[in-house]
Amino acid sequence: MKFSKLVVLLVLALLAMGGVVSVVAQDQLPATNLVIWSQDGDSNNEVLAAQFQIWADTVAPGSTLEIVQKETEVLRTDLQNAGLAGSGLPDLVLGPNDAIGVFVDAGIIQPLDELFDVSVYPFNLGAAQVGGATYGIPTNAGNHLMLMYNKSLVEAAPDTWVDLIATAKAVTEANPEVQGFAYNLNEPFWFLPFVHGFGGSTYDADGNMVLDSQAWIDAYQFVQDLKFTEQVVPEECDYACANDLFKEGSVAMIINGDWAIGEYLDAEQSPALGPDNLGLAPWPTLANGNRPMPFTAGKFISIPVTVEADQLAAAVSFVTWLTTDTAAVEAFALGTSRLPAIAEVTVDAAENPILAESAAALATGMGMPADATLRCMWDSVRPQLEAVMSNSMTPADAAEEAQISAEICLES
Amino acid sequence: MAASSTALSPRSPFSLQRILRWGLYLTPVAIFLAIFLAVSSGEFSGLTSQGIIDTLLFVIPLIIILLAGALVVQFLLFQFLDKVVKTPHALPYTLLAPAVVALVLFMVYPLIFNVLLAFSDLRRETFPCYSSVLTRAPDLDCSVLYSPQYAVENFTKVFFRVRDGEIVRDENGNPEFGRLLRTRDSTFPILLARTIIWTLVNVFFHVTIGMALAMIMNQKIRFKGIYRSLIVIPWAIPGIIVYLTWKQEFHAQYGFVNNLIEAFGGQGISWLDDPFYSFVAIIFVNVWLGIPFYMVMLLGGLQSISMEYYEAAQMDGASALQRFRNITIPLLRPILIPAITLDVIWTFNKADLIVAMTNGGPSESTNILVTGLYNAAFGTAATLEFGFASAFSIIIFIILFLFAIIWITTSGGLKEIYDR
Repeated sequence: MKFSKLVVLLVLALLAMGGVVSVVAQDQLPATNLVIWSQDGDSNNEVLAAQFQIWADTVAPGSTLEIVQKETEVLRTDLQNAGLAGSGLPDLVLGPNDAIGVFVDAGIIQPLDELFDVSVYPFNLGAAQVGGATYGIPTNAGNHLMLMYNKSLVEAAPDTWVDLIATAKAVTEANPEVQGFAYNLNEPFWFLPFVHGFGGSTYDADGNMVLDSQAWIDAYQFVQDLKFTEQVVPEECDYACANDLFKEGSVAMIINGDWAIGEYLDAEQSPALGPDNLGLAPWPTLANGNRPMPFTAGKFISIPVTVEADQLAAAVSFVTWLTTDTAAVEAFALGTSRLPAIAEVTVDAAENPILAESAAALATGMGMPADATLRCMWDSVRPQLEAVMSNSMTPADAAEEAQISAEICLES
Repeated sequence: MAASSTALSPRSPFSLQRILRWGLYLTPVAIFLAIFLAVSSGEFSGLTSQGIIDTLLFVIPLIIILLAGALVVQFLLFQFLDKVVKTPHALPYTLLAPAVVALVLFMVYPLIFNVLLAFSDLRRETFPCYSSVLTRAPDLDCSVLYSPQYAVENFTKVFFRVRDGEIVRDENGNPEFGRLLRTRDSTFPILLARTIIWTLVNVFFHVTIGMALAMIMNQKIRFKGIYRSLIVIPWAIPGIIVYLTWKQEFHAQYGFVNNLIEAFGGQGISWLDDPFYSFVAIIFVNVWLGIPFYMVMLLGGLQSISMEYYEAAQMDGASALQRFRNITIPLLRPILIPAITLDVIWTFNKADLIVAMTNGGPSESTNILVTGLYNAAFGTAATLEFGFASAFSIIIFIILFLFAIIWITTSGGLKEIYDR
């Protein structure tokens, strides 16, 4: 009896071991070389590379990840060109959701609903959905613009635009070398929150593009007044201007996105900032009591249609792990000073006050659609905004022109 | 004559020949030094030393293999022409072959492909029709890829607004000009007019200032070599560095230009924010860049004119202006006409400066035809309508081609060359 029990136990133990071995074997993938085109900065890409190595060591030993860094517009153009040429497409694409609609239009990326459990991303999946299908897996939530200030120059974030203007003037008065406030003046992405704050939007209730409503006119007027009436912004300022001046302590407050937080926390890259001096806050409220609402989305990973078989299995496995494993999410999202896209990982305000401030700013934003027609809005508004900011066009004319331009764009 | 030969003398420490010769000597040394520093420091401009070594180990053998392959092919070609075809011109044909192959590959083929694209409906939404790998939407009709109908529509869209295949007309029944970009001023006639103004102003200042400087440099003045080297500097700096530097210098608040204006009590100008001043700024930079070319070309021409002509004219009582009009200009014509022809074509197509400094802005007001084409196809207002963009580029090509033919035949600038 005892012997037979021993045999049974032995057999059961062997079966159990076999089962474990088979689970491990199922999870193991062959070594694969993946290529990712990333719109992220170098430091974030280093974190991505480190995360990939952790995944590869566990799941697919010997696998490699080639990260090719590309600026937003270059990535968009190159991906379309590679798709048209029929070769050279990467295995993964990491970037904001702006271009997902365009890539779907061109048939470049594949739907992911069958490959991933998309229900685990509760916050921003809509920003990567076109026609009900999901084309991007969020690595983080955010990509939102917010008020950033240098605490050594401004004690507390202004809560209204009246306060901000007064604070900016006071800063410059106290120190003529320091600009009170700056932002990317002629870029529609920075302008659109004002439109939302004045009650406007890109599409009306029927889905038609409307760029000439009173809210648009009010927003044009507001930014024009910031420059010419209040004179609290530099005469010319693009992204590099605001970013560089802020990092060197030559501007007290700027509007910028969560992608820059990591850079500003690094005292080596941003000598005037670092964790002690960087402050984040939601956009100040307008006179109507509303806050300008930035578009929110995040960064997403998409998979081109050419990826299949072992490459696809590895890509899906890695992206699933990177975006759902809590340790990986903490490392890649929080580790790059951005907000997680899954509910299981939260930001501890006591431990990470900067990210908590970023989360508070994110809550004031509105979801950005992935619709390809949004491109017509950006392209139609940009030249009119430039004209308003050079005082060569009235806000009403700019709104009217933008509407005409958008309609012509939509025709094509 | 003595002055002229001194100016050209390679003994001068700042002579062009010396600068070029030292440049030739120093370039490989600089490249070697840069590679050595990069490899020894482990990292250089984001490139790891291993990456640099890997790239070199790939590129250098590749170049050697390509050169060896080309030599073998040329040898075989020579044998074929000499032994099989038995042509007496086997050697010249063989020596010309690489250039012909390069011309066909890099000039003729792209040109033919560009024309073919103008007959296509290639735009972002139809990419899958023209690609073997992209996913086709169920309702995408890919039955006709190239057709004259597409060409008609593409060429029409360069000039007129087209909706559903029909030209849109205003309330008076006149066809509406199409917007090549996003503003009402981005129609073909306006872009063409701006391009002509841009070209004429630039070429005018290039010729006049270049000629003035060349004439000064042709005189007996001290430190001529130094002046000449300084004037040639804009030509020697890589374009993109020049453009981005000048972009910063034209910044309204932090730029050197406004600082200078304000130092003399003037009011700063929003150079790159104002449509008119942006255009002035890019013209200024292109004039600054183009002067050395003319100065060098014309100085060479001036030095080739025998002083005897001037001495004879002076003895006959000709004034300085008469000598300039009746001796200098006619004798410089064989240099001046090709130089102007080239300059017009270069300036007409000068996209890089505008893209780098203003990207056609503000409000698309500094776009000329080529930057309009670039921005319509790939840039700020990109629709990726490659069929339309190809038609647009063919129109630009035709304009320049007609100009070159008319200008060269009417000016007689190449007459002497043809008569030889």
